[in-house]
Amino acid sequence: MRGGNLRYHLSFTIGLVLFLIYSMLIFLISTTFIAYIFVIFSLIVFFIGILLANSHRSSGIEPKNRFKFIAILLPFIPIVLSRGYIGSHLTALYAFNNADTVFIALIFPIAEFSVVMLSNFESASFIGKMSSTGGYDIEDMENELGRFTRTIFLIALVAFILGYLSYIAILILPTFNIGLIPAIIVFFAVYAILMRNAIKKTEQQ
Amino acid sequence: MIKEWSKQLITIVLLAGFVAIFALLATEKTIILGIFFPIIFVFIIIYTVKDEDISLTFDIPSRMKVGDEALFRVKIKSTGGFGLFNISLPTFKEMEIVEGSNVCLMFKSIKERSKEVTYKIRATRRGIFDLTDSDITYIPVIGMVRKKKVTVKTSRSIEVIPAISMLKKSQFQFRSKVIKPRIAISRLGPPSTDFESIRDYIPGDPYKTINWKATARRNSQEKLLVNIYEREGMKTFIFILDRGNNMLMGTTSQNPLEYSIPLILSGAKYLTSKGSNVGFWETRAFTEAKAPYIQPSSGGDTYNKLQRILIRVEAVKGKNIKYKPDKALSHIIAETLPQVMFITSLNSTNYPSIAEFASALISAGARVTLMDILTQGISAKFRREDLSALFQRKIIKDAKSEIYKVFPSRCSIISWEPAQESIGIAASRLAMLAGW
Repeated sequence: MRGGNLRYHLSFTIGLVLFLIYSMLIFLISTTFIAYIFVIFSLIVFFIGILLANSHRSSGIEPKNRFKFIAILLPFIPIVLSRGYIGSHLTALYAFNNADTVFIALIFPIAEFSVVMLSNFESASFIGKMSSTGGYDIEDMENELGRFTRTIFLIALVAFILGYLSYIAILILPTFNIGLIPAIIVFFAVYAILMRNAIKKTEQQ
Repeated sequence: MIKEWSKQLITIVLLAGFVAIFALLATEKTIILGIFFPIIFVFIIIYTVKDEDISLTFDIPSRMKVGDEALFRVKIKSTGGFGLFNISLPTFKEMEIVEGSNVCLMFKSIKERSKEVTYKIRATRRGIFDLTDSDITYIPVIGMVRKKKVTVKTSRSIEVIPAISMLKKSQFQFRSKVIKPRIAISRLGPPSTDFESIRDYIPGDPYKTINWKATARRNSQEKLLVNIYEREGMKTFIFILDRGNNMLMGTTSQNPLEYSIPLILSGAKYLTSKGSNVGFWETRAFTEAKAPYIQPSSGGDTYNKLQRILIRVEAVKGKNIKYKPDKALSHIIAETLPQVMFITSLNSTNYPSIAEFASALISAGARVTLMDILTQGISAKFRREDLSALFQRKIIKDAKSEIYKVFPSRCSIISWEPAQESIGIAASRLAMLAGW
């Protein structure tokens, strides 16, 4: 990947900045030490991933942060440990039980958006690397990859906004205000339908 | 890319699953928010994808000259699909891309997309070439299993004609050593209506000259007889092109065969424009039943016929060449006593047979000029460090002077080093010796 090409390096920057915003917000809002520990641990894992990716880059492999998904899931551990069945049965975990850990869940889509943008950059970077040796017009190729990352960014942005709007709708509209277990069942039903359609479309192709 | 992006997409979907499990374990409603983003994101991508649809419109020339640059313009339009198209556009053998590229990427989002790709191609060798098909690989954004390959047939060919030098009379400044009247009446020219004789039919004779009555009278022999009419015209020149392995020394675009074609065409253009009769023969392998030839005649048609033959002519690889005048050539030589110019490249193995061939042509009545195309200069272009150019020339000169001694004294020989001497200069030397 040539330096100075901002078209799709921008998606990497957006991904990085979003993750930092996510971590900063947890730092600003949390009052428990446990939350800090997990966020710091999450940041360490995230940056180790970036460092490893860059060390591979010198050996010709494109940067790919393999730990990004683990990093964003780590802050969930205090919530899971402090609430629900585990939190109520293991008194040793009461220290985790703090209302502001739930805030992590509230800002979690920012971290997801960050991961999507990083994935977007990695895919574009991968194609760019593969195509750079095939006699392509570099400027034209980067232009096309720029279009690709821009489109994915726009779709992710729409999904991000719709995600929050859906959550607000659940909170505000009484018809959507269902319990957690029915909500999860509905989720898995929607999930199954989506996956079935995705596989069907792929088979058609 | 497909694997990369698919992995990412699957991981995003799995992320939603993990978040749902966390929500279940924590019994915390807020966590549901983390499910919405990946699910909506994947949903939008899956439901905006249509089957791919791509069309190409070509604006490609059908004819060009060797060394010319031509602009290839291709309009790409896609109305369906959501992903990257990796496109390889048509080219042909024996060319080089001098500007732009024939491979490109095109990202098709939800909207219709069109794109124009231009690239400049330089033809490096004459011939008729089929353009390659356009290969398109569609890499859908949601392609979880495999990418799709589409081939768009180009179904076109491009004719690359040899570039010739327009020879002018002023180029031949010196008098020819051969004393020949420029406007002498020869026995071959446009046929008149005056009957001259009857002879056996030879391939290439016009059908209208067949004398059916005379043929019927001589029914014991299954041979056609043709009327010969008196012809008037300018001098007759016959080019004979060697198609042996020796003509392939060098690269596909720089070898004696490729150098001799523009030389013959330049000469033929000049001679036909003067009203001389020009004929063409080529040597053939023992295994070949026949090879195309042109009976001596004048005018633009003769030149066009010659050009059509020379665009397609190829050397015979790995086969022995029959260095012997065929029946038609022998007849024509006997009838017209022409000036024959044999274009070849002599080497240590082929010169005895070529010397015999030259003797046979001379015995038949032709004046023979042999143009020997030297290959050392061509190969020196690629292996310059082997020997100094001067040293190489000396060796060649010494070796060739021994070879030339074998040829009959009535056969004039000129050598041409294409790497050092242009076609125009070579043609003018040939013109002086052959009495154009």
